[in-house]
Amino acid sequence: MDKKLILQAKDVVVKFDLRGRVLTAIRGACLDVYEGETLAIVGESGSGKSVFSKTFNGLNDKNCFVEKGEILYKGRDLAKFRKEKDWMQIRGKEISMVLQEPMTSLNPLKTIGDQICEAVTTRSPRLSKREARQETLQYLADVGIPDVERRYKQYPHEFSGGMRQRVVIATAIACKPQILICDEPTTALDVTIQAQILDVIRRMKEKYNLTVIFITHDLGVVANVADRVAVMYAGDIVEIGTAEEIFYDPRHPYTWALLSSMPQLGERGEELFSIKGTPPNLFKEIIGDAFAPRNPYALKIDYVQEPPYFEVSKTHRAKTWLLDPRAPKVEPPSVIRGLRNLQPVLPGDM
Amino acid sequence: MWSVKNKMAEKLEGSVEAHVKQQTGQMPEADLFVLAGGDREDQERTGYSNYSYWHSTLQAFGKNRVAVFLVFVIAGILLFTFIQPLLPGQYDPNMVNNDPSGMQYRNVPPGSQFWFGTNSIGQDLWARIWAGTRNSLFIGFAVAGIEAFVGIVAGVLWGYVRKLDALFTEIYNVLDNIPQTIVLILISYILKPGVKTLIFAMCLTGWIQMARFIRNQVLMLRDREYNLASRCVGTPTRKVVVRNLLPYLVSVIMLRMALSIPGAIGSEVFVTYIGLGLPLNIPSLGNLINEGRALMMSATLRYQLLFPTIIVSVVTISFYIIGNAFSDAADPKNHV
Amino acid sequence: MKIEEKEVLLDVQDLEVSFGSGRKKFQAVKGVSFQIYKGETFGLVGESGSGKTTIGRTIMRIYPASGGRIVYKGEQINGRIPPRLDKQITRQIQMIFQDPTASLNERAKVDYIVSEGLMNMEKLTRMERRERVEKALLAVGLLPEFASRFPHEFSGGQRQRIGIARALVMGPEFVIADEPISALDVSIRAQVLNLLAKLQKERGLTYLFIAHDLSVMQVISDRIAVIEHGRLVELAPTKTLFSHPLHPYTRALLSAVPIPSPAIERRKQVLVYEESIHDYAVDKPRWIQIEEGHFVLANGREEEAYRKLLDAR
Repeated sequence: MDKKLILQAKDVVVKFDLRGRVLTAIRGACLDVYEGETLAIVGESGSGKSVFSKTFNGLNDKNCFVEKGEILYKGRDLAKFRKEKDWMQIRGKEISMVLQEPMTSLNPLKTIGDQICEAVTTRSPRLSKREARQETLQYLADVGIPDVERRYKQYPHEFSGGMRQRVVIATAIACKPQILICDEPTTALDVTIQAQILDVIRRMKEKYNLTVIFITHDLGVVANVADRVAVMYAGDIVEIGTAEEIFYDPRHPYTWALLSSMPQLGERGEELFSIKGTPPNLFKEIIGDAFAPRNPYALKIDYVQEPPYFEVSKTHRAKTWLLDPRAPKVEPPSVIRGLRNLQPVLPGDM
Repeated sequence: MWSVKNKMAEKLEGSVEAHVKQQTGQMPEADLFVLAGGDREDQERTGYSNYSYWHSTLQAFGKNRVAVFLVFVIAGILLFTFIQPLLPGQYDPNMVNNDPSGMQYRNVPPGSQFWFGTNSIGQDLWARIWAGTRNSLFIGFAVAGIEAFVGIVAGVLWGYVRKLDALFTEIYNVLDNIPQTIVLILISYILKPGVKTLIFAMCLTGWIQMARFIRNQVLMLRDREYNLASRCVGTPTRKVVVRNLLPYLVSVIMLRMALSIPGAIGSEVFVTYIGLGLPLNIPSLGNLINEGRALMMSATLRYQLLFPTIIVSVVTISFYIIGNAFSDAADPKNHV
Repeated sequence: MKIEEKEVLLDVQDLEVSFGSGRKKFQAVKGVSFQIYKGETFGLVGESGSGKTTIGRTIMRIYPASGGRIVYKGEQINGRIPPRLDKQITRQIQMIFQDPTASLNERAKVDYIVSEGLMNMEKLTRMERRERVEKALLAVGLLPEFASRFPHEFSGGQRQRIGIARALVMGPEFVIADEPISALDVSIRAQVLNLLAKLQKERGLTYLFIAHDLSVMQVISDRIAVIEHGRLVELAPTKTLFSHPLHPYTRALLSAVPIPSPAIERRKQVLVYEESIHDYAVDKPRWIQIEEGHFVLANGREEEAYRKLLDAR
């Protein structure tokens, strides 16, 4: 735990004003991000994982506001930022973002070389044209784009989905950020490409000493990239721990449910574990544990009182009353106990 | 760092204890830590709302006070054009009124006998304006209705039947390249002037715009999965159009219709202005304005232009505002 | 059970589908053949642009086939067919769509959406219709009172079940499920897979299950075909395909299946498939049965190599 804290969110409450109706997207979430780690935030759609990460660089829509809490980064409280001018000092240079759909981040009318070059020269205006170009070519090579000299002069539409996402990553890196937020960067890609992009992100993180916040709904991806994992449900982080802790010793029933409902773990002819019901309505105030109505292990107290964090280990906390000493002992579903002994799908040598 | 968190957690826990005790004082602690075993059936019951598209549309429209007010204004005007001739003591709009000495009441200013005054041959302007409004609104509604009907039928065929695409596109290219004014002038010139001629002339080119609009919308919706799904369960094309496509288009069709009513009234004014419109014995806002225009420079006779222009302005602006408010209200994104 | 003893429900022979014409012509499916047996789940796996959805939609007769035959219960169903057969097939072959937000008519009530197909097929009184709709909704785990609501009131998982009810109400024997869980939230996917499995058991349905990766296949499929660029590259029973895949593309897909275990994922080597590893210039590939029920696309040299692999096993 001697790692340096780089970003700290404390009791953040984020709300959306939708024509007079207020939606609470983040309900007092706390998160510490340490330098050089890859932190995955996992949750289903509507859990607020994307909104939460966008509050770190002011990319949320205009009708969204941080009502409470602090987001500390390098001694400044990002939660207080209101003006675009403030964000311009953070966005890109300090905290960069890779989005799900690469075309939203690329300008279709400019060659990809020019786009990355622009990022390079904005960051270091003193560079000569040739130096900037050299650097750009370097970034392109870094993210694994072959034949960089030719690719430099091409437009985004000449690239495949996977290649475009590489270009987006190169553009993000070119700003030399401290933190790279990846918001479902592989969701729109084919599985075989997905693994390659994850690999690129991992290599870039090593090479440029990045801290990566990785947002996804896919636990397989999480297992691949994350050092630590935060599980989000209904606008709050219900469990956080190292990847091993979350996968091999999960404590929150929601984490159990997420893990055991993965089809990869099923067998033909057997019923898969499934979560019933739907996530709570965020327009309404949530009393007690937000997951309680869908939770087969819900205690009566879950309907009355929101659980606090219970510490499982120094790095592992979960928000569930099941960890209270007074609670009955509940065993996680059997599939989860088998996770540790899982074997790779593809036989090693054929 | 974790120590901070721990303290926070402790603090939280402490307060939680107190809170729980306070809130659930009657409940012994042991009972709280018991599996609740929720009702699983119950979880399917999601936030039930009595949503209906039209209800929400009307509700959203109702929130726009100005538009609602203008709906009443238009309805009032329309209604009054029919009531007015039935009121006691009204003049016939085409009757030339003579004073007891047999002289025409020429250019009598507004007063107690002729509320809006008379024109140069002694016709009652009050009666003429309401008759004219009735005729103009009739033209407007008729043109909007015919354009919508023809346009929707043609547009759906154009968009849905791939084989007809080239044919319609050619028709569109031809019609769209002839300025509407020329068609209006030509038709009014060839045919006998009258309400029917005007409506015919305006619809002749107007429908293609509606058709193209519908075609573009249909193209957008045609291959959406829900339409494929309907085809997969054997729904005939006609039913797919009526049940799957048109309901999505109602709001935009209404908007276009609302906008084409003032458009048609405007065209009528224009055609009459250049002398090809309705004959004088069919009063319309067009020929009233045209008559008034001639007298615009004479300060004492300006009232003859004023009243018809007020009506035209009110009607035109009202339809624009109502149309826009309605299309906003009909957008499901704006339904809360 | 021996394969020969099974009854072939759907037989796709040398299916070709192309779009556009002239220079813009694009061949989406290039000579695909497979058979689906009654009562099984046949998985069709391929990445975007592989033609998997096109095959499903061609069987549904949404797209016309430009070559080959599709034979259902011994009768050809592509091309011009008599109205009697058309009606029969519309009832017996149904489809579940990928995107639950796009596959329901937002302006119609659930009642209409579910009963739409029925009303095309037979004259029903209002009572009969309501009864059938309620039965279908109950079968997919929804409440009968949902019939009077609009689709947008439902969550993704519920909407997908409405889509399943729409197909079920026709009483189909063969259901094409085109990526039915891809657009759903992770926590909902298991629900829908369980439902599909339950319905199959209860009604003896046959599924063609289309997916873009292999991760769901082992829980749902009996046999799997892998398609790449409009061509099948491998077809085998699920266990066989997972335990000894032969074609390099299948192996690449398998290696990419995400496993919820950090220990495995961190050591994972993803195989990259390059089409250029095949030397098909002279020796053209053929669709060959390399062992009982295991087909692979290979030319002479590759066939030999694959046989060696199988023998070494």
